[in-house]
Amino acid sequence: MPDELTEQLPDLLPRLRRFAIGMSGSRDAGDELLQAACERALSRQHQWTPGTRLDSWMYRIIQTLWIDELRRIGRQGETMEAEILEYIPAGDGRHDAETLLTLDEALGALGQLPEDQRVILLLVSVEGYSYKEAAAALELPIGTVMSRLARARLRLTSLIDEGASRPAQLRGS
Amino acid sequence: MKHEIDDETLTAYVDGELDDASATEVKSALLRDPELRRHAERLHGSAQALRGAFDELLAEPVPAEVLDVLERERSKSPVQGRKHVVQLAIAASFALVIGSLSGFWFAHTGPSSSSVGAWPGALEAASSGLFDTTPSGALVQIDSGLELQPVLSFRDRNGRICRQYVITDTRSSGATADGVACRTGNDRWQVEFARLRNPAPASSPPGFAPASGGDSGTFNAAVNALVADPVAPEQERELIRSNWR
Repeated sequence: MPDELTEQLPDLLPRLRRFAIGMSGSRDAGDELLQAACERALSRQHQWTPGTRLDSWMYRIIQTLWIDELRRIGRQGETMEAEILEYIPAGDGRHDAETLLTLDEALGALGQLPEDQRVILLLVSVEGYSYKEAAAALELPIGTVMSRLARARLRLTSLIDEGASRPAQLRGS
Repeated sequence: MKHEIDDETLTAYVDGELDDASATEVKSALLRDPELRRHAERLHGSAQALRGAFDELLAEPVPAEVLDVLERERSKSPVQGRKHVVQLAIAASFALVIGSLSGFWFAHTGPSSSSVGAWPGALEAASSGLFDTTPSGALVQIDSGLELQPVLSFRDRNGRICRQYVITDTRSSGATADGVACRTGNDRWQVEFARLRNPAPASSPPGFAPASGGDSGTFNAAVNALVADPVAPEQERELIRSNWR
């Protein structure tokens, strides 16, 4: 019943927006992506099976649209590195005790991960999906989810460490 | 660096994804190896930090363009209107914030020495002009470190125009205050109620008692109780042009 989709979708929007911003690297791109995803979802509501997870279905649409967008602008498979070289978290030692990241720092770090790692990191570590749920949502074997997530987390951890060890005077802010 | 537990297993361990037997094995390795412990803590901490960084997005309004997509769809079915979509999205936004941040503080109006406590005052000083001219969704600077973002305009049950807003302290830890201001008979904006949200609840800001049980939902409920009729973006533009008359 399509009504179920239009009933559930508004509740999901803040989380879907968070995911879209995480995938695309900025609020502006994320908002556009979310809008496109909502349009696609509504035009294809018959493809969603009521009773299954609408959030997973929407995450998948957002991911697909983002990959399409990368392909369209000829950056398939690349990371966002060229755009986000400015990933430099504050080097004031606050990372030593309790790690804190600003959103910009987090987006900068995510931008340095390949898309297939980024999506799993967002689903598991931001959206709180279990490995099994992430595997189901992305239609991947759970082993693939585990290995990609582990690589993503290692990279994220070392990016945070690099940021923390960088002298503060180089931060340029 | 090489450990006796590989990174995949260790990541799964800190994520709570291992079965009991494997978890026990990792635990005993962690007990033996302080370097492995540090590594596990970093893997855990980086995920926590990532999650924390993204949480602020849940407090932001969903752009009107996105709501419009849903509204168009709803208008095809005669029973549902825009109000419903907007209210649901706002309710969802707050529900998620409440679910994802652990500490909330209520703004009990009254003198307070903390800079956070001074916000409602800062707001009143600034609101006369900024509430009149700032469209919902836009961010404006109140003073050196405070930013105001109106979230939604609506009419209450008495026909008053009200604006829900968020104020963020960009100087400190990014603490925020949510509130609702309504327009009074003499063309001024008066804060109806506000709540302070502190992202670092471990140290209570002076002058504020931890919110007592259940009241993180109170703000949300208060807003919902007040909203009679949300003002659509185009109506809001018109109101701004006509100085809210």
